[in-house]
Amino acid sequence: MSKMFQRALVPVDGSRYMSGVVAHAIAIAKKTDCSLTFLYVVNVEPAATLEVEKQKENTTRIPEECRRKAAAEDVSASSRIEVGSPAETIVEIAVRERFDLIIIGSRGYSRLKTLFVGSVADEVMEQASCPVLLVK
Amino acid sequence: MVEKILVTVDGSETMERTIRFACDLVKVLGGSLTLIHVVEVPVMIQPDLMFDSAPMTRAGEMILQTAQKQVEQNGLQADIILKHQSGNPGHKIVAVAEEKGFTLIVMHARGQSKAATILLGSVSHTVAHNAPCSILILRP
Repeated sequence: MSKMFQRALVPVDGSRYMSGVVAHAIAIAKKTDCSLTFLYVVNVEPAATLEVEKQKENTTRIPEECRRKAAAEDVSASSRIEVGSPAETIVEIAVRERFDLIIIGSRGYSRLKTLFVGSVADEVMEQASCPVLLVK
Repeated sequence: MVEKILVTVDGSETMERTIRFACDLVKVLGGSLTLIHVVEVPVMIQPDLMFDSAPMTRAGEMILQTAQKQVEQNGLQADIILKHQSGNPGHKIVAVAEEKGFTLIVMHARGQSKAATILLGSVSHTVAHNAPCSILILRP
């Protein structure tokens, strides 16, 4: 049987929900033999500009930590950082680089504790052109 | 963790692809497969108006049978669940997932939504926002 997924894009945001998503992605990569790309997007949306510097400090650490976790379990993985609007950037990269799956956490770096699905995950789910695994 | 996968089927043109995808998934992840179809009963404004849901129920049973056969063609077995819901079927799918402890819901982004501008159908949207478990949304 041909591989179910070749490459999965895993957006990570450094929030406390991230480790669950990463563990899930690693488990799936092990079973389907796909590679993982951990992506951190530095948010440049106007309302978030004040946090760009703070986010930049974390940028190298966050996706790289995820990559190391995956590598430790013999999963082929890479990490990268992009600057832009998170959801748009995630969807664009997935299309442009032909990822065949996006694995994203339903909750992210949001202060609204009442949200069941974060705004980034929501937008990615709406706009993506490949399958999306929403991890709860 | 043993996956308990719930696949929503609505008889739309994307159903067969969704089922094939779910079967491939079970083959690599392991676990069980259950197909669910929810008959959408119109919300009645006038209580004295009677709605006969029997034809829709029969259609739902046929959809499930077809879907079950497609699963068998992929070399697997699936349980089936038929439910009724007044209003958005998404709420029933969420309730079943909660009640029976499913670990993953597989569904198509569009289902029966025909409008090209709709990226995520109302059922998928409701499930995505309320489900207790992870969801895999297929496209196109």
